[in-house]
Amino acid sequence: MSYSGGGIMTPSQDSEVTPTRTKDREDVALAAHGDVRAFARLYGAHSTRIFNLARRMTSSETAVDITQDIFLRAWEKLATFRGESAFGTWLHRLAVNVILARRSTLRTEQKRFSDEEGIMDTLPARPVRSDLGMDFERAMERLPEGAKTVFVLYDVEGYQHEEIGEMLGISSGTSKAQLHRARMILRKHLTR
Amino acid sequence: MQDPWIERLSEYVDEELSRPDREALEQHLLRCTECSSAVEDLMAVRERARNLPEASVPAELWSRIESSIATGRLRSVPSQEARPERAKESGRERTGRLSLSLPQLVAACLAVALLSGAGVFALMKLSGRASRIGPTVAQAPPSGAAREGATQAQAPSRQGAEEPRSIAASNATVPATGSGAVNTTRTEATPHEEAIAELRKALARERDRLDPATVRALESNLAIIDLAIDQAKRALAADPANTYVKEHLAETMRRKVELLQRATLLASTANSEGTR
Amino acid sequence: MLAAALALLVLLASFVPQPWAWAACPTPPDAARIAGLVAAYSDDEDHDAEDDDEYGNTIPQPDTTIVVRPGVALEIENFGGEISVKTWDKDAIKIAADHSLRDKVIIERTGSAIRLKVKSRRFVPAVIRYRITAPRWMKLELSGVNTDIDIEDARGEVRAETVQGDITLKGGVGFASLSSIQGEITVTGVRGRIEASSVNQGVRLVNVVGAIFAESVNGGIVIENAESDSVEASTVNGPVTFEGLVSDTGYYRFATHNGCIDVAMPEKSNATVSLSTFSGGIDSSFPVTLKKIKSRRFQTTLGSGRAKFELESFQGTIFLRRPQEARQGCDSDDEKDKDEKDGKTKVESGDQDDR
Repeated sequence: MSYSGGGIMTPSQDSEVTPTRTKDREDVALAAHGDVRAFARLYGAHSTRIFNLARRMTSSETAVDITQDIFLRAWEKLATFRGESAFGTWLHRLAVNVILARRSTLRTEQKRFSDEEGIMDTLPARPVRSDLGMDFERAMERLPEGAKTVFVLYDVEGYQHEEIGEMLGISSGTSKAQLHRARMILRKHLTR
Repeated sequence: MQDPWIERLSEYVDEELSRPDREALEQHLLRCTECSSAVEDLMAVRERARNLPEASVPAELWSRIESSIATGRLRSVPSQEARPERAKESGRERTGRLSLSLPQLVAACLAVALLSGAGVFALMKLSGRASRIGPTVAQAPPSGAAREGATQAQAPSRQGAEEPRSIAASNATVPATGSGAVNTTRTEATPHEEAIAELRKALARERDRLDPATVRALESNLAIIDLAIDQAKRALAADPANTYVKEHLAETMRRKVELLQRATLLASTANSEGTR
Repeated sequence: MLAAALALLVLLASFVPQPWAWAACPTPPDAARIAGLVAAYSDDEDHDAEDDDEYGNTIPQPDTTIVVRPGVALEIENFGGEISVKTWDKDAIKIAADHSLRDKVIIERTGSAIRLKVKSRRFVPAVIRYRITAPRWMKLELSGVNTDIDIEDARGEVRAETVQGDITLKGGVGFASLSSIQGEITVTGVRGRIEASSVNQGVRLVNVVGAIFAESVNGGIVIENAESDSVEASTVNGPVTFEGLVSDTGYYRFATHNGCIDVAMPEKSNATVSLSTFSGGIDSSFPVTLKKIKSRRFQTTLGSGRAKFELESFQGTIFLRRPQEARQGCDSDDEKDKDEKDGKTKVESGDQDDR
């Protein structure tokens, strides 16, 4: 497969970031020179989104620590932000990288999926609505890691399969399969 | 038994199917109630995903980030070419750095560092500060010949002789011998050096659980890093405005902390592998 | 010099573990945990109480094949020996293990993983050579103290960790995190995100497509034929060399303290290259305009300057060259060793007749 080499990864749901774009630019320039208050403004504008990304890709317990790591890393790397994309996009991408890299230290989390997921998988294909008593978000948290990652990045955060493939080092075909798997598991937890 | 179209339903819902595939699937949907029910559900899942409630960020998170930045500010200190008011502001923050909360911050970071990954990041930020301080216990080599291009064979023996002293006297100031390039003495230890000393003590306690070859490898690599740190410090003393050297020193300190942390974790888990 | 040697000897002597220290180690909690979990042997009937004593004559495990459903991971904790994993298309895992009669491989099954552990004689670490054929999708979490790890064509996530033991990853797709203290890390022909770190040896990545993060302390980093838009390679004592595609949106960082850096850069690249060195030099095989932007930091811009390169060597030379040109002087250590191992010599065409 040849390397495409072009194009910046942009989540399609960029609209919420666009209104703050100009202001972000100024704050980024200030923060890159050491202005913590400017960085605080950037934090204020983007922390909710990043925190929720971390929470959905990992869990509520670890989201705070990871969000801290993400912003500290962003602070360190501000000088490398070239301003070609929106700051929010760059930050989001950085966040995904930090979350993926951090997962090696969160091994204990994976043990949680041991039997629950097995139970989910052997249920008949016909969806069982809320009979298991687990709500949608709890079910999301319990998805197998690969499926959860792709689901969050695609359905929640709006990345495309090619972008997800690049970020995770998988093919877009695998990304589609994981997404489908996640959705098929989650359909049993739709509440009406 | 398994309907092959089911696996492609998500692609259909996301409009990723080629036209002939889409038309074929739509034909199939007319006959397959299980599939069309699944399509409904998949769209509902997607809709739920797009409308998830957002949790709010805990209020105290920013102050944690801010204090990590404040104690590890080194990398983002503006160069002298920057606007004067910026430089002055950071200068003020620099001289006002040693507040009473720092040792507590170090202790807290250290505790977290040894237990989880999160604090490591804060700890690594702390390592950046040390470049402003004089020499640590890692000594400048007494002979100038050994200074640059020092081989790895020399490094362990030189550093090795110093190490027992470094563990016992973690906060002592030892003036540079010989080279005389840097002669400042510290009045108090930096958080970075305290952290390193703590990690070293922890490592010393657990060390006998590791096999000697591994211990030697770890020690010699720590010595390699120490030599690099020492060289960077002396370079910085000779050229204080050098941003590259500042950043390089901070990164090398971070490597040392990382290696110590790795070694300590390794030592403390060593008895659970192999021998039972 | 003598004093230093003596100091080193004294230091080393203090590290030798006393025999009684082994006995002082507490009973590992694993014993209780194993009892509580499902433990499967390939021939359950042969396993009875008599086999459990220290010098019991347990029969070496014949090959075991276990059917697994997608999503199950493989976890191995080994002490000495080897772990070799190849893959196939079946949804089953074949486990073969060579070991002495007195060691036992324990296979634990949970809903999400197959775990291989070792039960060995007290005070004597086990040496097990695992030969595994696993489903291509299987996630691998392998660790060993004194174990070489070899993985081929894995398509699931790979995490491998050793203290002493080389790690080799060949072919395959996906995320891989490989780390060793004393071992060398080699990755070839992989598509995915690679994080590789060795402390005392080098890291070598050839034909990798995907993000690269490589680190060492006392070893060189060699990256050949990479296709990536994110490469970070750094070491303290050793060279860093890079050959690969330069993506317009890429970020490439190569850093060392004591070593040279050699980067092959097509002249038509669009890159802003920042070069920093304290006491080293900069050597370029093609004309570049170096602009001094700070003390000891230079910058040159090629093309539209979109990609970002950071080349930093504290006291080594930074080499920039065209990809087809030979290296000027930054030979990575393992390249030299490799040539020696292959018996390669620089042979004039005339000499070949003598062979």
